[in-house]
Amino acid sequence: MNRKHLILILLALSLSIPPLFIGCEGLPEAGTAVGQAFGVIDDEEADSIIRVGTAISNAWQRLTPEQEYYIGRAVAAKVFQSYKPLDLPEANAYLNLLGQSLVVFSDRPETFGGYRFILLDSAEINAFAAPDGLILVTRGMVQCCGSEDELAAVLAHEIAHVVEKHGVSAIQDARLTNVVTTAATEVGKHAGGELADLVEDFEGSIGDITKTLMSGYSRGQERDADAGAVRILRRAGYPETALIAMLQRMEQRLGKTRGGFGSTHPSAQSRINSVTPEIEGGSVPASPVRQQRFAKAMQAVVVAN
Amino acid sequence: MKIKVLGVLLALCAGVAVAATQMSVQVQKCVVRAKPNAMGAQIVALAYGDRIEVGPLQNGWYPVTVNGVSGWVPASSLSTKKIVMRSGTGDAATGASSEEVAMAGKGFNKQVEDEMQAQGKLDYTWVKKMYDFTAKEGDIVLFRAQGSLTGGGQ
Repeated sequence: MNRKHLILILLALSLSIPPLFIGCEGLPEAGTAVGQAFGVIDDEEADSIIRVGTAISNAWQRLTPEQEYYIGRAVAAKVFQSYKPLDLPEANAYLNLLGQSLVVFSDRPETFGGYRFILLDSAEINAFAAPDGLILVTRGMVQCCGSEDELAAVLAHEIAHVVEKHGVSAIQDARLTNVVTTAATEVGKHAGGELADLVEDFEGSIGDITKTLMSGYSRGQERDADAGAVRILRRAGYPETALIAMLQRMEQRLGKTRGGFGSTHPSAQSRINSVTPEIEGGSVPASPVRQQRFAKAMQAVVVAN
Repeated sequence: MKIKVLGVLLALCAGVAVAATQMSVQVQKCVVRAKPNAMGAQIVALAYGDRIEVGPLQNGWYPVTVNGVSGWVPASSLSTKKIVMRSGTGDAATGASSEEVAMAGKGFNKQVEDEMQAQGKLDYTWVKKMYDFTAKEGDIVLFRAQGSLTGGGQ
C-alpha cells in the first residue's frame, strides 16, 4: 500500500465515522493522528487532511457562486438531452422579460451568471430550475397557464428554488470532497489527477441534481418555493392568488394522469392548503395589456404544438 | 466627566467596528443602486472579486460607498471571504483558512466544463444561446409600467 492509498483510506475513515457523531469535531484529527503515529504522513499532509475533514460537513453550502454557475450550466445541458429547446425568439424574449421583472424582486436578484429563461418543446406540464438561474419551462406548462399572472407564478416558483439553492443541496456531500475550497488545492496536489477527479465528481453532482429535478424535490422544499413565489409576486405587483389559480388549473389539466410536474410535485390541493396562509396582499386589478401580450407571445407556442 | 469621556470612547469604538466591514463581490456583475431596491437607479457596476466597504445590513441590502458615491448592493451578491483571483496561490501555505479565502476558478470551473465538452459528455450549444437572452433594465421598467405593475415593491 503506497502513501496515496493510505491518505485516501484515512480520509475515507474520517468521512465515514461522523454520521454517528455529527458535530464531533475531534474525529478527523483522531484519524490523522493514527497515520502520523505510524510515520506514514508528514505534518503538512496531516494538516491538509484535517482541513478537508473539516470542510466536508454541509459541503454544498460551501460551493462558491462561481462553482454553482458551472454546475447550473451543466444541469441545463443535461436537461436539453431529454427536452429540446423551443427556438421561438419572440416567445423566449417575452419569457425572459417576464422572468427578469420577477427576479429583481427576489432575495437573490443577482446570481454569478444571471438568470435566463427558455421554453422547451414538450407537451408535458413541467418546469426546471438549474442552479444559478437557468430556468426551463415546457410549452405544456405555458399552455396550462391562462394568463401572464399565472405564468409569473410558475416562474416565481422556479426562481425561489434558485434563491434557496435547492438544486445544489441535492449533491451528495462525498462528491464535493475534492471540490470545496481548500480540498481542491490540497488533496489535488497529493493525489494527482486533479482534473480527472473533478470531472468525475462534477458528473456525479450533475447526476444527483438532474435525478432530483426529474423525480422531485422534497415536500418541504416545494412548500418553501411556493412561499417564496408568493413573496416575489407580491413585491413585483402581481396578484399572489395567481399561484392558487395556476395550481387549480394544473390539477384540472393533469387530472389523475402521472408524469411531469404532477409526479415531481406534491398534489395541487396540498400545495394550495400550504401556501394559502402566506397570501396577504390585496387584490390586483386585471390588466388587459398583460393579457394581450401574454396571448400574443404565446400564440407561437400554440402553433408549435 | 469621567462617565462622559468613557461614553464618547465607547461610541467611537462602536462606530469604528461598524464602519470597517470589508466584503467581496461574488457574482460576475454586481450593480450598485441608488436605493435598496432592485428597481433603484443604477450607479455603477462592480466586478467579481472587487472588495468594498459596507455599512450595516438593512432588509437584505448593504449600504456601500464606491468612488465617493453612496449606494446599495444586494446581500446575496457579497461574501465576507476574500476572493483570490489568481489560481495556484496556496491559501493553506500562507496560513489563510478557507473561512477567509475563496479561490476563484477552483473546483468546478471552466476547465471542467471544457473537459465535459471535449469528451462529448455534454453539449452546451443552447446553454450558451440562453446567455444571449438579455432583458435591458429600461425594457423591464417599460414592461412593468405597461402591465400596470406599479403596486409592488420590497
